Amino acid sequence: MNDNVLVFASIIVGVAVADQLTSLHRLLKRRADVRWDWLLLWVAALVLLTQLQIWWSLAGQRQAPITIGNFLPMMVLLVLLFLLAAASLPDELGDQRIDLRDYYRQQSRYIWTLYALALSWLIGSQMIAVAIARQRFSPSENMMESGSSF
Amino acid sequence: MISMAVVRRREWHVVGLAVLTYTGPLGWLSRSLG
Repeated sequence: MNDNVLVFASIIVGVAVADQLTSLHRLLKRRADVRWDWLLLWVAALVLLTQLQIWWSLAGQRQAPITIGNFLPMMVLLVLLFLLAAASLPDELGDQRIDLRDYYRQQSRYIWTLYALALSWLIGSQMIAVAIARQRFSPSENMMESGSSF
Repeated sequence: MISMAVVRRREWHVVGLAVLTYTGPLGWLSRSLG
């Protein structure tokens, strides 16, 4: 992955993290009106760490060449992670008392659907990438294709 | 009053979260730090 691609991926991850932190900041500012729920905070922490983990693995592949075909599946994953981050904490607090347990009850299906989609997409795209790489670099299969034998 | 179905659903979410945290970011962090 070259630096330009990493910068673009970092922007998407950065916006997602910023959205989460802004939501947390708004909650902390209104802390007197908030009924906290540790389960929702745990989900938000898991989402934050998952983004960090994904970004770290992207940054670790800096020397590997990348095509748009390699990057598009990653882009889909980053979009899913952004939606997940945006949903993990409430954005609009309004004037009333904020109940995070109620928020989790209302949003949990959406949050877990996004998480399942992101995880399935990650595993699926990795499996396809490995299968393509094996097909491309397997010497025995290449020899069989070209008809040569020992 | 909170119904039993809601409590049970919450328990399942806690178990799922614990598994995801352990197999995902926590495992990664412990491997990276250790």
